[in-house]
Amino acid sequence: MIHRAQVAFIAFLFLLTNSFPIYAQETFSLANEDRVLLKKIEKDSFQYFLIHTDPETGLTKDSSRSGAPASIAATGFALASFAIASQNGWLSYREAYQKIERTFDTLERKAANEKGFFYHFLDPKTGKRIWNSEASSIDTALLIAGALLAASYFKGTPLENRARKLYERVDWNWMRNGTLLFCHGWKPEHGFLPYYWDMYAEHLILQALALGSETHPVPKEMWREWKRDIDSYNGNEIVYSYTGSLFTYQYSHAFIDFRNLNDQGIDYFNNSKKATITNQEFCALHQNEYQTYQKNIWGLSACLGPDGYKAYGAEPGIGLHDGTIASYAAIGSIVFTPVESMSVIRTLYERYGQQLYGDLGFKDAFNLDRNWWAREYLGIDQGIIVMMLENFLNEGAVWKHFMKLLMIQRWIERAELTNKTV
Amino acid sequence: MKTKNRRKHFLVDKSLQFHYLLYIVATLAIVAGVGMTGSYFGIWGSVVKTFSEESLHETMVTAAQINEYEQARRPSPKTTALPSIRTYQETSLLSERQKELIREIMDETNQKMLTLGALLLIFIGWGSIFLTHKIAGPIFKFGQYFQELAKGNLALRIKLRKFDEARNLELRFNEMAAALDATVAKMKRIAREMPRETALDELKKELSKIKTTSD
Repeated sequence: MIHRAQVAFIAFLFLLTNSFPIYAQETFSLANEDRVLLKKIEKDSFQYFLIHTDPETGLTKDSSRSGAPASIAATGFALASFAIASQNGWLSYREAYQKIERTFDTLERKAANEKGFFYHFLDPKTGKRIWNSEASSIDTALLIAGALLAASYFKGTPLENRARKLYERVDWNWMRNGTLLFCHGWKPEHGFLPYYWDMYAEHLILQALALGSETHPVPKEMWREWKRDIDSYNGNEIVYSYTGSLFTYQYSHAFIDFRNLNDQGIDYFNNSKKATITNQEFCALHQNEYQTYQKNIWGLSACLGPDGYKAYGAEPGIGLHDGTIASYAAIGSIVFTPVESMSVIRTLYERYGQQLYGDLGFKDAFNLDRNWWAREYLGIDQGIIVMMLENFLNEGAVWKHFMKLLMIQRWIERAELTNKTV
Repeated sequence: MKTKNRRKHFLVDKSLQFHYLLYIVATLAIVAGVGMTGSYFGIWGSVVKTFSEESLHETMVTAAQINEYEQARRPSPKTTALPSIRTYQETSLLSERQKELIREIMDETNQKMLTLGALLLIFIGWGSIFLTHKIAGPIFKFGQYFQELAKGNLALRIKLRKFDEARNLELRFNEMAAALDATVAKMKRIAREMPRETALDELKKELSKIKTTSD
């Protein structure tokens, strides 16, 4: 049960969230030509989901490469993007509704899952599990978050009920495997994977959905169980992720508005801002080693590279880097660092647009030192671009929808998050 | 001594039998053709497509990428440092994928074969009814005619459809019926029209032409 005082607190949070444009905190004024460019990038990036979502099953391909499987995380971003596209007039209400409905049909009837957790990679044509993939906790969370968000744009329609049912059937408690941490996944052949979400990463969205569940509730102690390791870089103290990849500071923030939430003294919005600045500084520090890193070119995050997909990142964290810049990294941080991110976006677009910008927006990554340019787009990277730009350009539009969801309100209450201004 | 009712010639009605030979051979050819084509596209077509150079390349690239995803998500210095372990993981992933592909092909083939089998059964069933009707129809009509004949109705004539079998019999039976009809009609006319004293002789003369078991 949510008490009156808690409802009042949540209402207060909304009031705060909805009262200020997100970049008001930065005293940042977006130039009109920048707004036009960002809108174009958002719209072009959205096109990925139109082109690479199977018209029959509504499952979205992991990448634009021929033969790529469908990814449930990419499908979650696609659901969110269809709703956003409807709001922006890139799809009619009816078209967006039908696309979301088609995906829901597949998720309800065909898509392979275990206790509501979907397998990471599915056959885009049939929804069957492929590549021996695991029933994935984080990818299911991103999918369910996308479904709940999409449905919230279609208030009063059957989509709301259907998204809720998909959410309610996920047995979050099972994925703990008897511990107070969430396991990465489960395979029918070997059982639970030997990996757990035990420190700060992109799994906050998984925690939020699970703690907000009434059908498969998890102990509220789970929220406190994972480590908030803090390290300092150039005087910035950061609750850091193992890889130091920017996406780990972005994914949960695409859905959840952390601006006014305080977790035991930690402000995750500000933490992501510091992690982004640190990422920029880390690249600047290594400018002599890699010519790709330049004044307005930074952004280390998991992406394709000349030697394959790698979890590039900065310190704090393991800080793996080889001169490869993920195009989405700075864009995905635009809500945290509007000035710095905008400079990167404009530089990439104007200086390297010829090689890097295609019909579906920025291709995944590039590395000037190796003269390597990605030819592919990745679904999840396109998704974070669309969602973060929507939050940035439309005054936290995604956040406004997502934060109103009852399960999110329950999570705030159970995790004992407080208003950071109090 | 009882003689065996053994046939001396198997081709007693060449036209009819060759006709049916053609029907059966054509049906079997269609069934075999459809079955073989179905098998080709169901099994070999899928195998050729799945293991074409282009598909294999795509699959290998995807295997490498999925393995890289795993490494990126769950980085472990041990596995990223050794290329041989990475190759082993990719090969293992590839092998799992190939098993999945074979399973998919078999499932798809079974599905196709079942559908094809059901369609062929329907086709054969419909064809059998169509063909047997060409024989069963005339036999039924002859049966009806014989019943009418037994009741004394000599005015009936058989009329078979254009493509029915036994059209020769139709002609002969109708000739027989016409002959019987004419004989009986003549006897009736004698009995009706001739003076009593001459009519009896005339009737005896006519009846003597008909051979019965009492003769």
